[in-house]
Amino acid sequence: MDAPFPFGFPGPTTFYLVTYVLTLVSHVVFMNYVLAGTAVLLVRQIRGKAGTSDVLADLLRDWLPFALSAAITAGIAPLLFIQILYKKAFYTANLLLFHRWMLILPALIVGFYLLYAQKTAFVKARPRLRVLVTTGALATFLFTALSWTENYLLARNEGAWAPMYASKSMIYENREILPRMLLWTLGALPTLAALLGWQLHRRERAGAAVDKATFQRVARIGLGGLVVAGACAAGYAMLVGPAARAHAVGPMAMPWLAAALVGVVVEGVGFVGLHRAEANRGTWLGIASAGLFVVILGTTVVREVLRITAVDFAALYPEHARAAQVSGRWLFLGFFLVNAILAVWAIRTALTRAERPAV
Amino acid sequence: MRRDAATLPLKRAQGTPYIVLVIVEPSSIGVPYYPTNDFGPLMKGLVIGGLGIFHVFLAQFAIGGGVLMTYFEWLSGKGKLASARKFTSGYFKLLVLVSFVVGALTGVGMWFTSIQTSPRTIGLMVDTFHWVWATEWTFFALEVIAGYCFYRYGDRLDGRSRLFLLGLYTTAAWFSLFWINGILSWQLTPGAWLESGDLWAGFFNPTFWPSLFFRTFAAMAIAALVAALVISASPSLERDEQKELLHRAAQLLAPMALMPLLGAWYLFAMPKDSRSWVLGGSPAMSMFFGLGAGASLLVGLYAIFGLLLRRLYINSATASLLLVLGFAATAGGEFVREGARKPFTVRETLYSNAMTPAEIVTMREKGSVTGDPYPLRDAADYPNDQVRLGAKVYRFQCSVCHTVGGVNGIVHLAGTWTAEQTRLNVAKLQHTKPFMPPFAGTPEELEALVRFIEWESASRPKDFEVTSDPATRAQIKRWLDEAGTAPGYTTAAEKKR
Repeated sequence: MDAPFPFGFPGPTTFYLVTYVLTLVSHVVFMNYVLAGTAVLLVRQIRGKAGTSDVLADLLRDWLPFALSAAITAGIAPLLFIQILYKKAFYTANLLLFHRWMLILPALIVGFYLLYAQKTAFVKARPRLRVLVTTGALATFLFTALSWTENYLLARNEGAWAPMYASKSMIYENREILPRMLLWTLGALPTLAALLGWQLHRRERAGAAVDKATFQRVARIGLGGLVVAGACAAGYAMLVGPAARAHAVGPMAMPWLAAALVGVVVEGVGFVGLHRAEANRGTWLGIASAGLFVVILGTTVVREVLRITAVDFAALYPEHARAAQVSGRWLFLGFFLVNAILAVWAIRTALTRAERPAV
Repeated sequence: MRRDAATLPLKRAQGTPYIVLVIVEPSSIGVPYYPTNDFGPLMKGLVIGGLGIFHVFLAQFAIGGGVLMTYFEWLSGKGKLASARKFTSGYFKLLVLVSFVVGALTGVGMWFTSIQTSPRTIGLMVDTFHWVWATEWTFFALEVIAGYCFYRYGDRLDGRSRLFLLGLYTTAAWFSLFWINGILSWQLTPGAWLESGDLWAGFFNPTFWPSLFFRTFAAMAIAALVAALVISASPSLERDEQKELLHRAAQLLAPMALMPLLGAWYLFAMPKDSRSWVLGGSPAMSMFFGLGAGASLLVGLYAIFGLLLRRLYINSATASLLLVLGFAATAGGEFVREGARKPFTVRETLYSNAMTPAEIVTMREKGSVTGDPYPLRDAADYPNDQVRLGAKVYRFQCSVCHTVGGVNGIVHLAGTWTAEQTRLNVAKLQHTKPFMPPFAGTPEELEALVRFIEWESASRPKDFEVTSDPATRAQIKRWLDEAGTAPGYTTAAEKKR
């Protein structure tokens, strides 16, 4: 484990790790939009004045249900590969958290419907109800985030399994949980900012008027997110202990940590540019998005390295090797390509053939 | 996956008993023990079965709904159904709100519930079919993308684009069924996979095609029934429009006429012993089979004679009733599919209590809970170590299908037996009831289990005698040896031969 991730593992293990990380990154993008978007929507609803229009709130209200659907759909693939990579640990954490864990399903269903409820005229017309509905949705997403954080940390800690089972507790107590959750939640803001920026940019290109202040607001969300998430990351690094810190700056994770830090700088430059720009906002958004991608990829890899080094990962190699003997990967890759082309075709059809609504 | 002789699960050799070998997880890492949760009076199977039925119903609605809307859009484009578009937009919103939300999340829920019920089973399924599942995911993603494109932009699109998006949505949704159907049907009839380990031999297994056709027609029927309810309850449609739409929607019920044939095909493709549970061998399974068949028959007869031949109008109350019957048919069918696999979760590979045939042989020697790292919860409540051991054996071997005193409770099933009768029945469990797996433990563990059942049946007295008669252990050992470790249905087959 002295080589940079994903090198230094047997072929099958490397293959599943890479597949897992890449699919997880796509899930994280949508998840960030939902988590940060609901929080931003709530803040804007609380601070908003009655009768005034709010482009950001309108956008979020309109797109959050789809983003949640996309997050769930994108989350299925990493959920599949995590079972290959860490079967016993993942299953055990699920079992130990039991009802607490299973509650994320009804919670997400409720959250989903609350996002749809946001779009109804009934809720739109009632400011207090609007705030209540968004608060409910945010609570369900934060609960889901908390549960996943617990699941991840519990799966890493085999020593805690039997005592937790004996205690009948369905809550895993670990001092890393809240800071870690805070880090990931606040770290979602830059993703939201980049995606909102692209949505606004597209609107502008379609002929709708989007004022500079709205772009600046988005840039501030991104920059603010980078600052607070950075502070949380520093605090979290102090908390995890020397062993985990050493792995985070060890040979496996270091290149990715460095890449993530560079990504943060690039992202920051992009958001500052967006804040100042009078034109060419697409370029600044492109820079911010490139940085964002590197940050998400880098942090996801570091997260994975911390798990790999916390469990007896080498003992799992034979399982990965056996799973890799199963045929079907070319079938998957073939249909992945075909269906990706069809999906692009469907989106293009919808975007280019639909009559434009009156601006 | 290539499999050599050492990985074959259960292979019949000429003139010898069943050779039981290793599969699923390497013997080098031993049996994976998982923490076992207590669902209280609810049987774990009921929890997963309940969610499964609900999910299947919604998933099939999503598939059939696509077929129905594509058909309506095509009719609209041909000028044959003027009110189709008005209906389609509303119907699709319902589909998105119900199926995309609850349907999608209950799908994830099936994974999570499967982990709660039997982590090894879902682990084996993922190990064997993860690329098939990943392929299915690409179709599901396409389904969601095409569906959302239609949902957001459908009202502003021309007919051709609408038809394209709906067609794409439907095709993707149906292929999602195609892939999942292969995995689910493999559990009951792994076919040639058992010998060769070839993925496609397992995927295109003996029940694949009847199951696929049956589910396709069921999906169309469910969509038509939901459509009937939506149409009859829609205030924006005129009566004539409703009648025309109802008649067109009912055309999707016509393939139900083939369901008896497909059902028979499916039944005859099942293993003989599984078929016998359904057709009278197990009252519960026979009852659910009757429920499924009866409800389907009622819906089918009403559809063909009432809706298609006589073109009757139905109000929302009748439509609701038909939909409830459709749900009952789904519930009956899914219960039978789940139950007919007994005593396995994956035929001849993994028993319903998540043990491989090979492991049973080992556990007869070394004990089933010797290496279980999870302590008993409330261990102090038990009167002695023997009952504690029995409780652990119950937890490991029985609790996946049984409760102590609730649904399918061991106290209800075995509480009135004498001690000797319990010892015999458990030692020869697969012969006592052929849909039960063989007991997988030492004579000491069996005796401990018997004492645990007796202690529970006696309302958990504070003091409870420890039994330690060597003659009893020797008798248990003889019974275990006589019973062997092969499944009970093989003995029945041999007797007939």
